Amino acid sequence: MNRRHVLQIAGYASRTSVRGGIGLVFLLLSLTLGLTVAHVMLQPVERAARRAVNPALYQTEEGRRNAELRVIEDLTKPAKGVVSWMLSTKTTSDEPEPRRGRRPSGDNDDADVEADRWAEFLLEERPALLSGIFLILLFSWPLVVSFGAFDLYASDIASRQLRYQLLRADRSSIYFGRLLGLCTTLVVVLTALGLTVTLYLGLKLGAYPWSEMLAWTAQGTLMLIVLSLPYVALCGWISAAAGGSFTSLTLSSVVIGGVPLVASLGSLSFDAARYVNWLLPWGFQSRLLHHDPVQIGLAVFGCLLQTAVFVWLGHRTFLRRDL
Amino acid sequence: MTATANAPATAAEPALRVANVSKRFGANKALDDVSFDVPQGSIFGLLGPNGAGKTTLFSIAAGFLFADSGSLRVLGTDIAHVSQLQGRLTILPQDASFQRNVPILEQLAFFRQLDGKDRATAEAEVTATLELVGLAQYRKRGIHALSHGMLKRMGIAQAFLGNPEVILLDEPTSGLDPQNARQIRDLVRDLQKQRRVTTLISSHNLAEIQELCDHVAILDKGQLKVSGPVDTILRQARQLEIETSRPLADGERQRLAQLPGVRAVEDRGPQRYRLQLDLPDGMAADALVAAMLRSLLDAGVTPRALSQGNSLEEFFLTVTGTSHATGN
Repeated sequence: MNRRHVLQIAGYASRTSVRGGIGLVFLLLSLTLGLTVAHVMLQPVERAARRAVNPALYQTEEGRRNAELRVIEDLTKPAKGVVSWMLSTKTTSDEPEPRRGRRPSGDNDDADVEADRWAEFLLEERPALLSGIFLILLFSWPLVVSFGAFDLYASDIASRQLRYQLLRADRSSIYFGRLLGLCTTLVVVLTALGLTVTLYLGLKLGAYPWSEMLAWTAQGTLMLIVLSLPYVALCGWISAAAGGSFTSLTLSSVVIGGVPLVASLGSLSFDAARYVNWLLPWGFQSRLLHHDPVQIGLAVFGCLLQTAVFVWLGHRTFLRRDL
Repeated sequence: MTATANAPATAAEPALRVANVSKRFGANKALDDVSFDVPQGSIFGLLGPNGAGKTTLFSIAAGFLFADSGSLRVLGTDIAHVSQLQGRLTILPQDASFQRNVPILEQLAFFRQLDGKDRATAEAEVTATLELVGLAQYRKRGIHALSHGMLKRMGIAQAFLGNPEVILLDEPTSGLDPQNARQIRDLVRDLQKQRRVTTLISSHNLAEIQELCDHVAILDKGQLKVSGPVDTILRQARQLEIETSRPLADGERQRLAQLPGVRAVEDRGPQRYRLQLDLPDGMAADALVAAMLRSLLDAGVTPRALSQGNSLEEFFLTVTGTSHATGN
């Protein structure tokens, strides 16, 4: 592998992907998703805040801020139970309701306490709306990633476009160069997404100080980048193996979306089926927004480990296949 | 990397050595134990009907496909280490497309940048090469502005970029008008004369191969039928067609067949015969013609017409057992 080639190919892939259409679609899809989620989260708060206080008072910045804070506080109380249930490691058949007023005595109860603490961290210690947006993005982003990464190699293998590069750079350089190029694009897209959402929330909502929002956005965006890596690597592997863009997109979407589906449906009959989620980061990716740095570290490690495995498999496939 | 894998090519070493290469696609044997050498500085033609394995062989030579068995060395380097040939080996692949959304200049300049050139030098070189193939005025446009023939020329331009020592051209003139095809042939010849670039060409056009190439190999159904210098092959395959004043008796035919340099005599009509020749070294065709005419005249037979058939096309059809050229 040649480092100069890797960087050159990464730069070229990054530059031309946006012009190629797929990169542009990916960017627009990401921004649309982020802003839609932000809008959906913000709208009820705005509406409720307007209703909650005297209209004259709402016109002042202080009055609006207080009203929004009060509404957010009111909304987060019931939301906490749901978020806590979502984040708990219990099976999908457990209900969120009976958890109120329980005594922590068993493993499940310890998990509940942990989940409550986690929900409290997200909804009370951090800007709740941003946390909500990041939670939704965390669970929807993997599907968006497949749209950005499915064509890493596939269509260029099918059209034999890669053949022009193969006598000028070795296969490993091409493989890693394109992967690096996509990751660079992804970082740019996610940064743009984080900043756009923060700007949107900051301009529409006065409840949170900018510094608090920017700090949480930076962490959330970083975690989304880390989360993207294993999915990008997985799509890269599928793309290298499929050798056709339609097959690659279909397989990537089916695998990424199918894993949690199989886990959820399977766990209705067999509790152990929920561990299927661990084949991909689905099993632990929510911990990227955990309050405990150790849990964050473990989730990051899990993502990087899966990235390494998928990159290894994809690289191996790319080296051995006919191009 | 082995020591032999990276050995530099010596003058005596062929530019390309194909040794017992086989490749299967499922049940189909695309290449079956193919071996031949391509001498340095030669223009080597690779011929064969559809499905003969020419493109498969090119693809293996460029490292796009992996052979199931056998080895292929280019300039002394095992093709498994194809990246070590960077800048020394280029190819015009068949049916490979360029990027739709990137200007021609940027695409080709990127290839030269991979070869280690800075952007300005790369762009200057690309512009000069595009001028050679008549596409300089399109350099800032996308490939959507190019016709099929122009795309072929663009592919050829990328193969000529830099200073390659070996160029593989898979069907370089297919789809080109006669003028452009001639231009490409002239370019190949000039490169060989000026820089002794070894060029391996596959082509539909047998006359083109005969005109351009000094060496040739013929593949059929994945098997190598013949390989060597064009002159030698044609010498072995030379034919004479003769029309006589009356049908020849068996004894007269036998006398013709026994002449030195005659391999066989075939009936081509009531008074037409084809003599398959295999001229021994040092024997001129004219001597054989004189001997044949003498034999006929001595027997009281008047030769009415005599023609010499020694085209590569006829040889190709004989070797591949096809009644007409099917192309590839």
